[in-house]
Amino acid sequence: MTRNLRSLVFSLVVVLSSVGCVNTTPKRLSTPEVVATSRADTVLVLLVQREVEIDKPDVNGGGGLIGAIIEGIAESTMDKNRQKAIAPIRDALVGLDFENRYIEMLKQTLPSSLVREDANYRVLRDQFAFENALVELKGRNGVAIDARYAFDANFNNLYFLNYLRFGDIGMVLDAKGKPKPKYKSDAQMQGKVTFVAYNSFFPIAKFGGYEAGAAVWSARGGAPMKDAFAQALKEIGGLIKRDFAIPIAIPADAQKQKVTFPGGGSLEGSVMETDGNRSLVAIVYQRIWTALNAK
Amino acid sequence: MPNNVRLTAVLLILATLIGCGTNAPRKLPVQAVDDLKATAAMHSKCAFSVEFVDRRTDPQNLGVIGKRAVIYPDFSKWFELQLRARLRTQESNPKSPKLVVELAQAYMETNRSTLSFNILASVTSSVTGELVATSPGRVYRGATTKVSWFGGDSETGAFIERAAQELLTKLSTAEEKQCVALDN
Repeated sequence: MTRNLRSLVFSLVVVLSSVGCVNTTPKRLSTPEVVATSRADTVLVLLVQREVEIDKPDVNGGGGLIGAIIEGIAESTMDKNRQKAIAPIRDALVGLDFENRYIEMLKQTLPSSLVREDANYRVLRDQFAFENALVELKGRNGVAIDARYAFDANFNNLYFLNYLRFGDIGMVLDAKGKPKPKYKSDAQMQGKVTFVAYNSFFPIAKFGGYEAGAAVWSARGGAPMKDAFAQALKEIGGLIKRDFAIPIAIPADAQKQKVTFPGGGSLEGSVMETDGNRSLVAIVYQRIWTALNAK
Repeated sequence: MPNNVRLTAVLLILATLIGCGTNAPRKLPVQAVDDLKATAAMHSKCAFSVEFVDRRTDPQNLGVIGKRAVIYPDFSKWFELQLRARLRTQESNPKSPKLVVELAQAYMETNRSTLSFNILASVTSSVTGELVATSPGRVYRGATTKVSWFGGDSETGAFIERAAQELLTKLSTAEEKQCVALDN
């Protein structure tokens, strides 16, 4: 009935990446020039109230009314089984205050040259509230982040998506009073808005099915999950800090690596660095911490 | 085409159009969620003293349907009432085992045609005034995932009722066993 945030973010990053494949410069829109008085005073975080998710199965029932009914019933059964399988992981994470840790990470990493120290950090629970908060910026500089963490539908990866925008990111009201983007094209955004997607993937070793995988991730009070959360916050925080301090420069001879996205599809990017068994891959507007040679 | 199939098709199309028309939050009326059945036979044999705490970060919000937030400000009060109706509470007796029930999560999520509601509570208990908790407490979950046929308030409310019923059945059964074991 409606598309979820995962689809939106993936569509955005894939489309943006495709655009970038045709026109390789700029690697990221230039950061707007900001003076002390125009630093961002608001940081908006879209974080829907829920537990760690598993992406929804996408069933093709073949079209038509009968197809829609088949899709509905199949999706319902598959979704129910998936939710049951990850329940032990979710139970192990009760009490883990991801939201406050996420906000703290942002406070520690967003540069004070761009964001005021006393900036108002607001967590929004849905798209409607998020868009209204963007209208309220009324031309002031701000930071907006769509954040999501989930397992992919096939339980191959735990992933963290963070789509960050900075600058004159506010929305305006159209003639019907509905929020619409102030700037639409890259050309319009140039020098006013910058955006980048920071992603962190954690592949799951195959142990024979959802339940077995869930048992591994929920072992020792969910320690593997908590470690992944901590590492993702560190990686994403590190990337935000670095990206806004020094423009990303990708050497021409950088090794190439294909990255398969949890939602399907793959793109090739440039390896910026490796750390242990993980590698940092840049694909136009995305910075992705993934596993080395992940498939 | 049989009439019932035609009606279903029309309802599906209408529900789709309504769902796509707005991102405005959907506020459930109080009557959308009915009280759960709690017969005398379902009551726990142990008499508990219950302390209820809502730990959710946004107590008005029950997750999202599509992109729309579901708002039900009465949920905390409703859940506490169902909890007390299900457990045999005896607050006046100082010897009653004390249960601290913390509501950790309650949220909707959707796929294209299905709707899920998850509710999660953790419980710590004490017998003689000292908490015998195991961090983060015993965790109980209720969940419903089904096809959402027409998306009305009462249908949405039924998801909440089913999930809460499942949680309360698990919670009361397990806590009663624990209480009986301690008594022996």
